[in-house]
Amino acid sequence: MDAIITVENLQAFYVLEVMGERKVIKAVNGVDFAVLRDEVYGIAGESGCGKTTLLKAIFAALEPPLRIFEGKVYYYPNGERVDAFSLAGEARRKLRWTYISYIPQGSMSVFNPVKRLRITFLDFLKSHVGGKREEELLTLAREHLVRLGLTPQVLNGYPHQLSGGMRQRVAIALATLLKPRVILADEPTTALDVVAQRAVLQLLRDVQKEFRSTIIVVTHDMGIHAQITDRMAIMYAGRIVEEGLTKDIFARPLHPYTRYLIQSLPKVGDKNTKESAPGSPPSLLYLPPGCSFHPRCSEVMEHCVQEIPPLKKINESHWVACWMREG
Amino acid sequence: MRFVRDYLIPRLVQYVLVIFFGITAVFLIPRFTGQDPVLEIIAQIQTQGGSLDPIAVRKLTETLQELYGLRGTLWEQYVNMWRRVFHLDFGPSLFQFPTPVSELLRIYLPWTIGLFATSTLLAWLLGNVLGGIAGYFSSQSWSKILDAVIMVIRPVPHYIFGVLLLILFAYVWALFPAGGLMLGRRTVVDLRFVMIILRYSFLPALTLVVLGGAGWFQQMKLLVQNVRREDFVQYAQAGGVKERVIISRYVMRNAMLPQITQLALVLGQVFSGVLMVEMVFSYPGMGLLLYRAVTRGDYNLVMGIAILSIFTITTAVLLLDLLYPLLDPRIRHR
Repeated sequence: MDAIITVENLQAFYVLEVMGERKVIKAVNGVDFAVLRDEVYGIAGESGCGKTTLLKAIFAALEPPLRIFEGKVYYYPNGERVDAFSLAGEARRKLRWTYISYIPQGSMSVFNPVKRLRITFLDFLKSHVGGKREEELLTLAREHLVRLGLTPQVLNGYPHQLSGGMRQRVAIALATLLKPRVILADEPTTALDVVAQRAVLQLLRDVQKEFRSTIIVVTHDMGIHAQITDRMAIMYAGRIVEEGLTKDIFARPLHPYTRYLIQSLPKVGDKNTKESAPGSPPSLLYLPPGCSFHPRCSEVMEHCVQEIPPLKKINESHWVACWMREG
Repeated sequence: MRFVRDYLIPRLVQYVLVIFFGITAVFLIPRFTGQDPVLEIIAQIQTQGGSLDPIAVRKLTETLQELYGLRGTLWEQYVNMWRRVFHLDFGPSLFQFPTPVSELLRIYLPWTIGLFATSTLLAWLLGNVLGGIAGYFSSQSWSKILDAVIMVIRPVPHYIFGVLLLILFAYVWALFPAGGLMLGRRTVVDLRFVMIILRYSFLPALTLVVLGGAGWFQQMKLLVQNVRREDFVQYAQAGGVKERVIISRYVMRNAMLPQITQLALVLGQVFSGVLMVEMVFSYPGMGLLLYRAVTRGDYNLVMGIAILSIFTITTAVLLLDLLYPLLDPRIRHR
């Protein structure tokens, strides 16, 4: 299978000036991975581990204070390799929504509040599809909604008339309107109740099946990863600490942090008390030396404090960054 | 229809009530000040050396009471006032006796509406469009320069800016008259008349447009800088929607909403006029008329202006309320 997005040694930091002092927040600190065609790739981790920053970097949406210090992100439209950060202006605008698109975190306010949804859909369509009349574009939008199992009537409404779950599904419809090859979904189900969550997940799965696109899902919720992702990466303090097939990770978690994440999931019939990782995530401003997880790790060794463990291949598809797995 | 029951009717009721209480207040307030305009006039005549015999005094008192609507009990006066309001008859003006107040309003009003409404609309349009674009591109250097220039202009008082314009364009280069337009009783609207109005209104209008526009500019710039950071704008940018569309349909369209409210309120104040500008350019507007009426104790004229003022402001607010759901659909479904 070929890659559709590759990330190489990415370092994306926020640079802030606080009272004349330069502070660097290392949100994404040396990340490597490749996402393949036609798969659902998950990125998991606690709040503040750099998940959303990683997505922004992949989307090449870099607004100050976020800056790329090192590394590359490559897209593969029409089989050729394109450096995402070197794209500018019109070239980047054209790849958006046709090659790569984005489902925002909490779509409560992503639609223009004073315009009917029809207008918003048309704005997105008109900016990418040339030489078509408004009527044809509108038909396109209606057909797309129907294919996703949504009623085309929503186009006549205003965003505030929709429920949260419905709004999120319409946001997914908008993001997939032009059948992008890659869809980035940032916490697509957060802030929804479980019923709406289920509908949204189902929709994401349907979209993936229908258009054979790649979806990158970022969420802290391990349950969602278990339900929809094929492969996943666990992020901790700006680094990937484990990557592998989702079923392998749940069956045989190798990193102590991954184990904590999985143990925190409720299971039917399980009477044991849940154990969470002790302590709290480190500040990205002052990372602990060596392995960032060592202050919270129950199996910490002397070596962990001194040196950062590299991401090491365990088998064909499973990688982990932990000194315990060394040799 | 739910719209009529839940939205239209409450607002119409409110409209009528505000006018009713407003005009009642205008009726009551002068009567509680303890001043008697009739006695004041008679005292004035007497201090000017006129000797009046008691019969003449009584006759004059009666005539003046009739003119001022001060005859009878408070209730009778109140009912009488409402009858006058419905006939748009506010009695004669005092300092321009015997011209009726309604006649004075008819003469002065078009001048004020012409100057005030035109320049307010123009200032609003210019300020909002420029402020909106400058706010969207606030990191560009031309936007910063424009912002700095306007920051200097805006706090300049109307009378200083007006005098400056007068010196430059009426004295140094005598392009425009330095004011002093006299109003005839009857005006024939023809091309010559329009040209005269334009010549006399240009400098006062320029003052109002520049200073007013600067205010709108600063407000709009701030509004746009906030709206620009809203999720729906950033999402449209992420989605590659063309920038022209984002600026007009996403950013400006949303930032405009509070500005429209303000515009209606400002336009409602047409009756207070723009005193300072009218004084500097000796422009025959409502501000000057009201100022003279107050300083000379022309009660009828003050009453007339106050009542029309209440009427225009409440009407402006009503119109705004009725138009707003078309501009912001969220209002409709509250």
